[in-house]
Amino acid sequence: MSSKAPDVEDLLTRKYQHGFVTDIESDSLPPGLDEGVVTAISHRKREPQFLLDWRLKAFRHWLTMREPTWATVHHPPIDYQAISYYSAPRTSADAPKSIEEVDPKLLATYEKLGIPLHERARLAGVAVDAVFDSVSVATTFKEKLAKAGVIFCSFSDAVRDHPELVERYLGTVVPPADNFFAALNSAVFSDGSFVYVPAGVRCPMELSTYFRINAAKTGQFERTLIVAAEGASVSYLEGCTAPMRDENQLHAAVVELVALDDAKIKYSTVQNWYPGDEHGVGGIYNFVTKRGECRGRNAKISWTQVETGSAITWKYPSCVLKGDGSVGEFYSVAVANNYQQADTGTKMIHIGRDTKSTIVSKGISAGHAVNTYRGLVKVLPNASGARNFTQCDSLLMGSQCAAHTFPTVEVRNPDATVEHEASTSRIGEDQLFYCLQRGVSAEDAVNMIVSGFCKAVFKELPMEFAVEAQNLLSVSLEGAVG
Amino acid sequence: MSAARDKDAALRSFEAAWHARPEDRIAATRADAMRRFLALGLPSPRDESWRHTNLRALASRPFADAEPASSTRTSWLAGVCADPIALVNGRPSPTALGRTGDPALSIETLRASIDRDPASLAARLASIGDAESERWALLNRALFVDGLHVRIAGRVAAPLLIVHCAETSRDDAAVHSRVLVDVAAGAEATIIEHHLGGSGRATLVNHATQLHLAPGASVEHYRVFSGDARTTQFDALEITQAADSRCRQFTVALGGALLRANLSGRLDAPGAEHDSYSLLVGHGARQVDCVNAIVHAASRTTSRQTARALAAGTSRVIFNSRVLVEAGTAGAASNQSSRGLLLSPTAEIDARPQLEILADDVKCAHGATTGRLDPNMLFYLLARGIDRAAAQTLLIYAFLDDLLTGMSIPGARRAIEEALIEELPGADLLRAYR
Repeated sequence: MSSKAPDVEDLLTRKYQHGFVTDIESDSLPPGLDEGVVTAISHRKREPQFLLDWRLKAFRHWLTMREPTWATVHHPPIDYQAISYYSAPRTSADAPKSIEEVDPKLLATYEKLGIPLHERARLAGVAVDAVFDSVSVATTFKEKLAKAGVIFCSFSDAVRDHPELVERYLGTVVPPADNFFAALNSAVFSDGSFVYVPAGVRCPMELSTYFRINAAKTGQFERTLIVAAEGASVSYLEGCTAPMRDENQLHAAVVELVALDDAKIKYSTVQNWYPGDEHGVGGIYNFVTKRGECRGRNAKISWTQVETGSAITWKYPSCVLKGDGSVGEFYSVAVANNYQQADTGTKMIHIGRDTKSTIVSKGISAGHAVNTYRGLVKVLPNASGARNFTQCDSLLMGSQCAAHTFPTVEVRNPDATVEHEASTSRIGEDQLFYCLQRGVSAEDAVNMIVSGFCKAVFKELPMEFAVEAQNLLSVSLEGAVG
Repeated sequence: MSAARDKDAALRSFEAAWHARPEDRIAATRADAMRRFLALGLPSPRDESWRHTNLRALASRPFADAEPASSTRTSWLAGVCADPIALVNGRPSPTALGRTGDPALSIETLRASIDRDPASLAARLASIGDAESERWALLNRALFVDGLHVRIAGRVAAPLLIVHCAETSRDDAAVHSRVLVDVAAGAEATIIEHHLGGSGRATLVNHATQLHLAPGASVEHYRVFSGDARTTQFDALEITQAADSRCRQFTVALGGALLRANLSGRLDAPGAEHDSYSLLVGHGARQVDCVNAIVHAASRTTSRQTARALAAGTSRVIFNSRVLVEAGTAGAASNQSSRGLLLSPTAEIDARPQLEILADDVKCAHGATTGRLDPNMLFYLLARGIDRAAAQTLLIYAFLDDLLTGMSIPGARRAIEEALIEELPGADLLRAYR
């Protein structure tokens, strides 16, 4: 393999393709965080009193909390007072009513990212609620969705137009005091997406949102809330890229999913934020709380994620299976290269009878990266007939990287069946040899083997994302074997 | 009396016991351990490896050292060995030590060994308890009263049985004891440690064993816990292995109110092989917390961990195993398998099979299952006219006994099986089948 070294070098030093900064004036709050900042955010967004009270309560609780240290990640201490907690593009003053009204500079940004917003929206039939920094600037297909009764809008719009729904569901899955980052998010969240699918409605299209981090020194604190009422179903796609920057940026999002009786929610993520350069300088700190609650009978929540970006990922999309017969799924591919650190996994909490969960996690480490799977499967005493199957596999590329597996299984019901399997190894030399023998280049062979390793997860992705995910994986890992 | 003082009663009593001790020749290492123990305090559920075991009740009880005593109790494993060595309240009975006609085996009290060579013993004793999770091993280093130093120079055919028991008439007695075993290059031995626990009193037993295998050495080590329902037992077992050494370790938990059994193994040189088997039986209100950590510190090292857990009544069984493959090693292979069987709606089994891999040339895997009896197996037996209760009993026994098949001392296996049967539902039936 030594003859491949120059290629390897070349590929490993490939620059982040999405690294650029769009030059748009931002309307930001100065760095710092106190009750005044929380109030200012709320006032700027013209929020009702209940939300301001809720934010302040979360903030006061956050002050009493300590940053968690249990994750296998290392970073210099974060100065929460050095971050600006609000940044909105100026154009939001006269918010565009349609895609044609959107600032062409913004649209150009998406073009550079390879996300042809309007084309994609029109040709692929995907409604895109694009979040640029913190405020939603473009919403398409609203009418078609409205006809079906589906509410899909930015969180700010939801607060304005549907305060009763927001008040009813906000913080019921991830309470403001849940953890350090969730509390911080609850206090200062700027915007995000809101989806409500009424009873019996099957959402007529896949919903998609692109998040980007743009202005310097602004953490992004999105809040996403998706509610599927009785018998409803929805598939939500989330994709992320971020421009290159040398200072680490904090991102602490909260995603809440609520599925009532017989409802189905599928949440897919491709996360490709700036991971820092090859020396581990810069990159996004991605501390996210994602949780779904199957509140009703036979509800189903499915998480699929492809994580290739961020300097640090701290993310555990979870399912609380309260309703009898409800189903939780978690499919994940996490790729860490260079000095990336990924600590990710899931929690499946079985509360109702005959609840089922499946976890398939594929971790890939290369360079000096650390990739950790951390998971919990908990079966409570009433969850008779509960079933869980977990598989987490790790692939190592290079002698300097690390792969950890920390699953916890807690079973308190004698009728439950919980199975867990895990393996860690490097790319099989016999597989590589087989490919090379047949004239496949080392790089293609590695790609092929890695794709095969991740196949169980990719096949769960919606079509729109499957291709993108495959490409991302190749870019992230090409040449990492040597 | 304030609540705050109350909750540190145990800690303060250990500190007091430490101050009351006369200085011995390893005072410096003991002082270091005590200082660190006091700085860390007792483990709480906030400590990752103590998440499932809450010591709040224990922390609020003061303890005092158990006085020297004698015991009339005998081990049900005594059949495997002509002259077992008994440690009562951490002190070896003087009569037992003169034994061993075997020239390859030498045993002395730990105190005698320390007095002869304090410097090297101090270093040897300190190696355990470096991990912060091993607080009790730190306390043990500070407070152990005595123990054994066993040296094995060649092939020792007969198994060596060490029986630990606590004899006291008080409810606040604490026993701290330690056993060192050095196995020379190429030597072979079987060592069985049987912990009988207290005798009807709420006793705290804090024991540590350190086992070192020189190159090419081969050891089978058993630790069997059969304390009564008032015994709290903390046991730390450290195994360090040199090149091409082989260790088979059996941990059998059949008793006690609370048992925390740590195993920390270190494969220091190429070719070292480690197999550990943990049979964890939760019965009544017992809590069994078994924590294994194996470090692959060299290339071409192999470890296999197998655990079977059974939880009945209101018991709770925790199996926490961790494999660490250090950076710069190549060819490490590790396999963990843990299976749990829950028999009651008020019992709980927790499993944490963890892998920490810092090298790429590895093959590591783990599998963990928790659940009920396999319905297919049950159906097979029912279809052959065996009634449901008997079929269940047989399957439960088979599930657990599977682990014991690797024991090379038939007498030990038989005795452990008999003791195991007593713990299971349908013991009469199982006895009839044997």
